[in-house]
Order: sequence, then structure tokens, then C-alpha cells
Amino acid sequence: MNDAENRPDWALILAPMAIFLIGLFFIYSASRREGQMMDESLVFRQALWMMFSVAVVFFSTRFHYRWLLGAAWPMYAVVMILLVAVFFTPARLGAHRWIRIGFASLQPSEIAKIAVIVILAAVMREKQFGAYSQKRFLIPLALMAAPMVLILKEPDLGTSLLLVPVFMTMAVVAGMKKRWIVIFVLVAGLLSPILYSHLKNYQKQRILTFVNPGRDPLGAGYTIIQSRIAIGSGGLVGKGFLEGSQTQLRFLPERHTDFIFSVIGEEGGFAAAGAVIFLYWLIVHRGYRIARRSSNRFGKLLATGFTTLLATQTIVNISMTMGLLPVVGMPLFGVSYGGSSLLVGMFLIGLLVNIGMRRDPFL
Amino acid sequence: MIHLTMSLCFVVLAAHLFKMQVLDHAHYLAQSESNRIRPVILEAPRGLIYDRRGEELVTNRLNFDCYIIPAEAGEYLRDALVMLSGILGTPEAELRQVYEKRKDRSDRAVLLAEDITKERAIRIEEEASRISGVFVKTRPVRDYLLGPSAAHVIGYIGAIGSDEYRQMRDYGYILRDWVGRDGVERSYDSYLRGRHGASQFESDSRGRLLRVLSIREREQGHAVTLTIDARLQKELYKLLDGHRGAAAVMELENGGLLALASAPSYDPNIFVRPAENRKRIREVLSDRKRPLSDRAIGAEYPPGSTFKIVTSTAALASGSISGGTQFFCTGVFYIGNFKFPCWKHSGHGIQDVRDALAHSCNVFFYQAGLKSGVERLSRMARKFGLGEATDIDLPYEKDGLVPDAGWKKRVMHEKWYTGETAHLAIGQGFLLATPLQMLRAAAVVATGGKVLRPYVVSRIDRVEISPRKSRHFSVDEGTLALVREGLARAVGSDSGTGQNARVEGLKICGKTGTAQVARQEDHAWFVGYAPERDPKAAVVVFLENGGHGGGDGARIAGELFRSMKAKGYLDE
Repeated sequence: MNDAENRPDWALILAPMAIFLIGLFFIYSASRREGQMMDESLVFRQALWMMFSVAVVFFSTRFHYRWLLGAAWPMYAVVMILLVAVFFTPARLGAHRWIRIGFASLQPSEIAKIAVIVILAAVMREKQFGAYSQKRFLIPLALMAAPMVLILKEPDLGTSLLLVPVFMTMAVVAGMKKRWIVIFVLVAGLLSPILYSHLKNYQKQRILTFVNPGRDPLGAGYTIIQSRIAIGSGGLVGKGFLEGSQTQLRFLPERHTDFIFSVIGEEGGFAAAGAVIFLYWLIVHRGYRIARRSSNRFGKLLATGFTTLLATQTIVNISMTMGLLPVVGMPLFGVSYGGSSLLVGMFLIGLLVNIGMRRDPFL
Repeated sequence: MIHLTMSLCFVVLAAHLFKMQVLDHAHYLAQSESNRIRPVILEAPRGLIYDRRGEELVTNRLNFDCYIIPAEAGEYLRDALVMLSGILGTPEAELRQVYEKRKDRSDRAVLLAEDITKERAIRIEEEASRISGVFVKTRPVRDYLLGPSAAHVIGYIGAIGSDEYRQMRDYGYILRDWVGRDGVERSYDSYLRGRHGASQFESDSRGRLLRVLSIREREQGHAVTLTIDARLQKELYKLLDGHRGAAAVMELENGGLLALASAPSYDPNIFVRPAENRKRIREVLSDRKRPLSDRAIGAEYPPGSTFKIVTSTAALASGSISGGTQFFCTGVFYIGNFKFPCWKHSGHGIQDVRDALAHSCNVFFYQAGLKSGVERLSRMARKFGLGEATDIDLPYEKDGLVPDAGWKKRVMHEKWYTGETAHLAIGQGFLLATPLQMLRAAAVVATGGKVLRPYVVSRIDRVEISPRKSRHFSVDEGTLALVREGLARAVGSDSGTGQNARVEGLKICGKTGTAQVARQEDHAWFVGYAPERDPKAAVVVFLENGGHGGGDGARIAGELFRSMKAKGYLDE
């Protein structure tokens, strides 16, 4: 093992920081109100979260990630308990997603994403996992499905569906045959009408509205139309910081959280929005490279799962703002306002760096 | 492979972004510049209400209001007012006064003139292009054609409250929506209200419509057809005029109400435009005669002698008395040392049950009641549908009260006294009933044991609403025949108490009632049905502090029967 192998992947650390700084400007723009003091604004709080996240990145590169192997089952058990417990908490905004602990509230589904990836990696890490029998993939499938159903029931459609591509990519790395992947996709396709019939009314509305935004000009359709106008009108270089009429005139709902990308598109134009997409791609590219180079199965699988998670979240959010996918509640990691998604995202980045720094075949 | 697929996804995103922002830039920029893309709510007109013969009872008409926006009128305010004064025929000074009074610090449009004629509205629109800031706004307004005559059946609508809005917005209600507040408007609100439409339109900076981006058409509410006959309803209201009370007419075939009125009444049209009618609304709300309350279903009274229908049925059916049982009325009856008087101080002499019903002899019923006992009386009363809401399809119905020993123990922690049974037997004491309940009780005798569920809505659009199945209990024919004969004599015989209800060529069965109330004049009651042999309709008349039931009560009932006969409702 040489020094070069132990060096952290700086591109992977700096890309999120750059994304974050860009995001900070636009959260300011999106949340700005006349005559507001700086310390009250969302920007200030977001910056505090960021400092905290940097500490998290630092911390998550310090220990050897193999420690996660031992934590896999306990972590999974705790997450399952929390996911059940969340139904016994009072609903907020019509959903059981949060558990209040003192002044802060915990969103178990955020932790569940990490716990599922770790347990899947732990179960499938054996060399030639699928070599003897492809049926063995049923075990990780079940381990993924249990929390997925619970999250779906919260209801949090976006987060629960995220687990599907995560499982698929990890299974491919673990040696699942292409035939089975095709079957998996087909079964998922066949199941989707059943899933649809179990959705909440507002979730159905969003899907129907996506198909035809004119259907509901006052509700979700309004958001889609306004978001597209915001992005499209940004042009090559944008309307300028604090100059976006869509953003400043508040045509755009949820502009500092789920629809922050539209603000970037409007005020920063293709230059800024394209740069953001590039930076995200860079993270994903580096993540998969670390997976490929990792010399043990556990690290390979972990890195694959983490990277897929980040990639899918990003693709879904950006597609949604451009009207390519239905509106699901999914923040844009690093940019959208909100502490917990930032913390979890930065933790994942830290773990990826960690895996990249330790390529010893410890198993 | 995974790496490549994901990277490809990012390329697609970037490509699409490029298409939107660079290739289609002009298209989106145009939308954003004119973006004044605003969602606009198109209010749905409520469904119309018809009577059973298809006559319109409630319609919507277009209301034109003239507004002026202070900021836009600006220095041309005077010109605008002069122009409007010319069209509206109101002196300019007066318009200015209205303007100054209604203008607030915000830049909201000021309502200058409400409900102007269509011709004037069109002229204003024509002139408005010359002077900015003036516009005419239309809105559909409820028009209650029967006014106060059917106010309690039809009800009225009112602006939604903010708490209500929070609860109901998921059901398609909007802020500043109107909801049914009483009557059919309330109980059938979900059918009548329709669905609001919405549109997104693009307008330029001056607010002119450029193009409609998307639209969801508004849908008018469903039309509702009532069982009410508007002609009979109007006559009934006129008959009640000057009284406090209620009256109703019910078809015996299914329980549909031909007319239902309560007096005093109010004009529901005042609630449609609360701004103009603030004073009248305040008067209605604070009137001590309570015109808003529906005395037919929403108020409880002692039923007095009309309850003797129940007492006689209970006593005969239980064998406590028979058709041949006679009591001697001296004008007073003693239980221990307590004196229970008959209304006729000189006494009725020898009475059997038919005589007693015809003459409304209290002394007979004290004894028939005591022989039956309180439990049999109260049980029979409940079988007749007293003590429970009739479940009519109108809001705010009262339950009434049928007392018995158990109830008294529970509520008053006292035992039941024999004298209270005597009071119950003549419909006094704790007993309470709504006029509609007494109407139904009369119908029980007419139909031979059917406890109908009264209703007022027969159709929604073209869908018939089937009347809910009525309850039925068995009374032997002998008992029924005796009670019916007693009721026929009350109207038909020359010594009967209900002679005032007589109608030429029609055999009417009825029972009067004079309910005593502490420190007030008596309430007058009349319940009855006709024709005697093949009953078609039942009637109740109740007059609060209206004296004895054989007077105005019977007279009004007679008028109703006469009118129904003329309209063919009583044809055998």
C-alpha cells in the first residue's frame, strides 16, 4: 500500500463544497424578504448546518469503514424500530415522518437509507454471492423491502422508491444475472398499478398532474408550469442574482427547498445550472470510481450503494423541476435548505472518501 | 455499466437543460415577461331548486357591481365619477361620498355601486376604456323567488367562516366561498354547490387578457326538486301570517311534504348580499320572535290534547279500556286531594272513547291513562315516533321528549307520581313534541301503523330519491276503527271540538289541542288527515300562544284541506 492510495479524494470533497456555496447564494435569493436581518435568515442557519457538516465529513473519514460491518445489524434493527415508532407519533402535515427528540426532530427514513445500504453490503459482500444460486438475492431483497414498505406507509413515496435503484445497482455488483434484473424490472412494472391504487389522494393527483399539468392549474400543475418558465427564461447566463422575476415575485412555490434548482436556473442561467449538474456528475463519477477501485467486496458494495443514492436523488429532483418527472418531495442534496438532508448527504460523502482512502483487502 | 448509465442520465439532464434554457429560451422568456400568469377562480353557480311541479323556487341571476381602483384612476378620479354619475343617474357628490367612505388605506378596488342594471353595466364597460380604473364585476347571486314564504324549507346561504374553510378546503371549498346555512341549502349543500373552475391566464402588465393557458371549466351544482307544492306553500304562509307558529302538510303515500312553513319568517334574500342588508340582518337576528328558528321541526312544545290519539290507542290496544268503556265527566276529577279539571267546567256527562276524542274530554283520558299506566303510555308514544327526531332531510331538528318513571329517576332523581300519569294522558307535563312529530303521529292512525320518514327533496337532477323505508307497528283494526271514528266525529259532529276545520264534501278526521303553558296564553294545535276512508294527506297546525286549538288552528287546517282538495291531492 502506498501513500497515494491513502490520500483523500479531494475532488469528491471540494465538489459538494462548491455546490453548497452556489446553493447558499440562491437560498438567500429565494428566501430574501425586505428589511430582514441577516442573523434571522435561512442563509445563516444553512451556513451553520454546513459548518457542522464539514465536521461530519472529517469525522466520517477518521475511522476504518469496516467498523460499519459490525454495526450493520444493530443499525438495521434500530432503524426498523424507529420506522414503526414513527406511526405512534402525531402526524405533521398529514404524514408520520418525524420523531421529536427535545427541540430537534428526527426523520427515521433519512437514517434508513444508510442502514439499508450498509446491511445490503454486509449480506452480499461474500465473494461470488450469486454464483451458486441466484435465489440468494431474495434475502437482501426482503431486507430492502421491509423498511421500504414502512416508509411508503408514512407516506413518503420519494424516499421509499429511492431504495429500488440502490438495491439494483448493488445486486449487479454482487453478481446478479442480467436475466434476473430484467425480471425484477418487469415485476416492479407490473406491481406499480397496485402501488398506485394504494397511494394517497394527493400523491395520485401529482402523478395525474404530471401527465397533464393543465388539469390542476391552481395546485401541483401550477408549480410545474411556473418552475419550467423559471428555468427556461433564465437563458444562457441567467437574469442575474436577485433579478429572477419568477423567484422574486414569488410565482414559484417551495423555491428554497425542493425547487431551488429552478431559482439557480432562472437567475444563474445555463452557466450556473449546467455547472451544478456537472459538479453533481463529478461526485457520482468519483463515487463509482472509488467503488471500482476498492479491493474488497464490502467497500465496493457500500460505495456503489451510496453513489447510486446520491445520483438518483439528484436526477429525480432536477428532472422534477424541469417537468420530466412528477413532483415528489425530494430535496436537492447540498443545495436545498434543510439540515438533515445536508447532514446525511455529507456523511455519505465522508464515507465515500473513507472507502477511497482504505483500499486494503481486509476481509 | 452502472457508472455509464448514471453518467448518461446526467448528460440527458444537461441536454434537456440546454434545450430549455438556450434553444427554447425565447418561448419561456416571453411567458416570464408577460408573466403575469395568474390563477383565477371561476365560481361555480349553485344548483337550482324546483318545486314538485317544476316551478322555479331558487335561481341564480347575474349581479353587476361597479368598482373603481384608486391608484389607476389617480388624477382622473373626478372624470371617472362624472362619467359614472351620468350613467348611473346618481349625483357626482353622492358617488364621491360613497368613494371616500369605502376607500381604505390599501389600494383595493372600491365598490361604488352595487347591483346595477345590465344596460348600465354595458355602458360602463364601453366607457371604461377611456378612463382607467373603472370596471364592472359580475357574480352569480342566489335569488329566492318565494322570499319569506318558504324560507325555512329552502334556507339560505352565507359566506364561509375561516374555521370552516380550514376544515372544508380539501373538499373543494375556496376562501370566500358560500355555504348553505339552513334548510335544503344546508342539508343538500354538497349537491347544490357545484365545482369551482380555475384557469391560468397570461395577461400583460396592464391586466389585459392575452391568452388562456389552461382551464378547468366550472360545473354548476345539481338541480334539486322538492316535494313542496309552491302554490300550497304560499297559501300556507299567508294563512300563518300574523301568527307565531308552524304548519305542515304531508302526503301519506310516502311521507313527502307538500308544504312546511314557520312564522314569523324572514326574507332569505337579505343574506345573499349582507353588505347592503346589514341592518335587516341585524333585525332578523335580534328579533325576539325568533324568525330564523323553524318552529315546525326545531322547537318543542307540549302537544296537549292532540296526544289523546296516543293515549286512546295505548289504552285500547292494551285492553285497559274497550269501545264500550264509559266514564262520567262532572267537569273535575280527583286523585287523592288533588283536583284535575276538565276544560268544560260543567262536565261532559257519560263518555265513551269516541265521544271523548270528539269532545276532547280530559276526565275520560285521566282515567284511561291511569288504567294504562305511565309505561304503556310512554311505550306507545315512542311507537308513534315521539321522543326521537323524524330524521327529515332538514337541519337542526329537535328530538322532543317522552317521559317515564325511569327518565324521571335518572334526570330529576325523583319518583314518578300518579298525577303525572294523568298529565301525560292529556299531553301535558314533561311531554314535548315538535309539530312535525305530531303530524307523523296523526299519519300513524291514518295509515294504520306506518311511522313515515318525512322528507322534502324528491329528486337530484334526474335521479329520484327513494323515500327511506318507514317503520311499521301493528295495531289491531278494532282499536284503529274506534280512534278513527273519534277523530272523524271531532270534526264532523256538531258537538266536536274541530268543527272549524270542516270542508264541504270532504270527510276530515282531526284532533284539536290546547296546550297549557305557565304564565302564557295556551298553544293551539290541530292535527288531522283526509279523506276519512282513504287518507291521502295529513296536516298539522300549531300556533304559539294561539288560544284553543278549535279556533284558528282548526280554521287554518280546514283552509289547507280545502286548497288540497281543489288541487286534486285528496282525490280517492
